[in-house]
Amino acid sequence: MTKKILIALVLGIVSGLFIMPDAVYENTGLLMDIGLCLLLFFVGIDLGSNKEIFKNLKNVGFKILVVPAATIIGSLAGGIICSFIFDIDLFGSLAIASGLSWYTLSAIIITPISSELGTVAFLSNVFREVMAFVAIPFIAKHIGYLETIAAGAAISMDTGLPMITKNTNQEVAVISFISGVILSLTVTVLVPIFVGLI
Amino acid sequence: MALRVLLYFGILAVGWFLSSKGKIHESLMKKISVIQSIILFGLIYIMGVRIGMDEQILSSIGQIGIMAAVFALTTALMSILFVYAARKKLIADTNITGGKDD
Repeated sequence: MTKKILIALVLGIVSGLFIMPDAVYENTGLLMDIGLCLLLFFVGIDLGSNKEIFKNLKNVGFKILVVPAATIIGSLAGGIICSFIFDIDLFGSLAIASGLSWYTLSAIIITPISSELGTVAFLSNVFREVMAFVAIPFIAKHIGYLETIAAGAAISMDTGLPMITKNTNQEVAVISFISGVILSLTVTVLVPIFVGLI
Repeated sequence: MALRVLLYFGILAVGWFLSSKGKIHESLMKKISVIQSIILFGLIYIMGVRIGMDEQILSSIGQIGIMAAVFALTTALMSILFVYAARKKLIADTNITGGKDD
């Protein structure tokens, strides 16, 4: 699966670089939205065919909230480590880490304060999304299902959801959507807080 | 953002409702996995096209690409590590954890 994903991604990048005319770019957003909606519809169909999902999730209860909470704490810890590695402002580093893969929003909020940090935020969150896509099959197979949500963070409710569903099961798909919503909401709160502290 | 969350939830709910009421034809149910794979790879391809055509990404990769890659890797790895530690302590259901204990 990882190989196929990498091939599709590299083919896309090469096509974008050398083959596609500029006019295509504007339509790719719409194409992605349509593809994503179709995928989510099929994920819904998948979920509806399993009557045991809610019974299984009820057994775990509120403990599922540990997934988004640990994802956020882990990302912030990663931000602290990076501030030491690159010797940059701690709150700037935490603002970048709080993007949780939502590259457009985090970059837009950070750029007015520092265009360099804004660009790092944009690029690092793009990289995190791409890395998650490539790594999810490996993580699901060798580490655990819930960790697939941690890899992509905020994308777990949209672009990452079909990939997580395909490599885990329906219960994890529901946890993924709930976690993705919580993580996306957290980005809107944490990034402005840390930007305010720079 | 709220509208987007509602849209995604609505689409999931429609698929869920139709499937749970048995409104999806059996022949389509059998093909769902293949259809999902085709759309998924199409989506990843388009994502690649967008990256390849995005001047902001291409122009900044040279200057701060390594820094951004380290940020991405560190934050993702730490998140995975924290979720791994938390679920080992709190969640025992192997159907949800995937049954990876080592």
